Amino acid sequence: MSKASLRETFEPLTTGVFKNNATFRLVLGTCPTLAVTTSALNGLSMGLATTFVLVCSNAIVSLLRNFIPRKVRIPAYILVIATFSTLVQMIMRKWLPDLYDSLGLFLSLVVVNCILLARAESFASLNPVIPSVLDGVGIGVGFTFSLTLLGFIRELLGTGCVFGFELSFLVEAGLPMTIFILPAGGFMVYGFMMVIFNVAVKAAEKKLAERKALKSGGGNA
Amino acid sequence: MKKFRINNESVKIVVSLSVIALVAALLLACVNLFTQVDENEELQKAIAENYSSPIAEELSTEGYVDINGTELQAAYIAEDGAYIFLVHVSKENRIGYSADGVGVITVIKEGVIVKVAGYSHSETPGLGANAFKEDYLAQYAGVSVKDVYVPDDLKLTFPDTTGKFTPEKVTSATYTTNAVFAAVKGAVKAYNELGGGL
Repeated sequence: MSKASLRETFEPLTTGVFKNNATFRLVLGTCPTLAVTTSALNGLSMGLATTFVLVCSNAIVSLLRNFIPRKVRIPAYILVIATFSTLVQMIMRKWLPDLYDSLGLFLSLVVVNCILLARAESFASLNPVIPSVLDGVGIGVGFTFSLTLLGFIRELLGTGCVFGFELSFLVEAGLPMTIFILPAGGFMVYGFMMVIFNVAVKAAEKKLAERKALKSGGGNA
Repeated sequence: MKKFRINNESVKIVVSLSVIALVAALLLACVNLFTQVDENEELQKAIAENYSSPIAEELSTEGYVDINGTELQAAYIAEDGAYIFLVHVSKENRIGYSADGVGVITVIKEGVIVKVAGYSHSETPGLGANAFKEDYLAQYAGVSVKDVYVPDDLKLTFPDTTGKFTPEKVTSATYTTNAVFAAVKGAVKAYNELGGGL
């Protein structure tokens, strides 16, 4: 495999995390994002659950892309996504009951998370299995990163805890502000993080483009 | 007369969706075999974690009428004579925020509440979930069942103006505090009516 085609194959992996970050760039899956990011652990587990469903459903949709009739592709995708979503629920209920209770209704709502349907429709149904799986991993990692980051900030500012461990010096200093774990605080943190993420990604893209131009310019000379 | 004809495309649609659904159902059925949760076993495990005396027998709740808004889900007698109740409080009447309501285990021995522990809830960590922390629930230990006002309907309970025991509220989580207290009231009612209080 040539270097260029290798790069092309692995491209969805990196674009899913930064350029096509589902939360901060594509603004998809906002409902679970705001609802479950009251703690970093909730954000991380919701992200991992969604990643599992995303990778598996992308793989199956890609495998069946020539078998599923075009007219009923959406119900077929929903069926595949619902299967894996139910699978995650069953596993979590058995082995992670506390987390299952904590994520509550939003675990069931993974089925209707628009990130999953969007990736199945716009990527997995048009591409072979390996790039589709990599796309699922990339988007999933990006989503997990965003949810964990939001959960981390909200939990720290709202309760003075990090992954459930209380930072007593913050609590004693009176830093925790309950608003950050309420919906209003969720919107605030989400908005600020979106601005920061977009500025950072755009700056990085600009730098990368400049470096590329410089490289190609140097080569010509 | 129109000739009956099977539309090939329709057949393809039905067959493809049926095959996917069948495979999905088989997969889920297989996973379910290994992940099935025995709720009774789970509950007994949770009770054992919260109260040292083993369960002697399960009480029959037949004919028992709950406080409106609560549901007595299980009742046991421990070997040391303590009564153990699992009471579920639904989200109605603005009591608690958990979508599935809250479940609370209450242990009562010789007319005194010995232990109150959370069993199931999906309250917000740092807010409503604080009402299920051990140090918060410790305030119920030692309270006599005579000091807990038991209404017929939870709507009549909050705010409680009877002058009897009222727990301290968790800041910014009044509804959840009320949900836990409502579950304790449900347990006290069950204790009084299922034999313990006589």
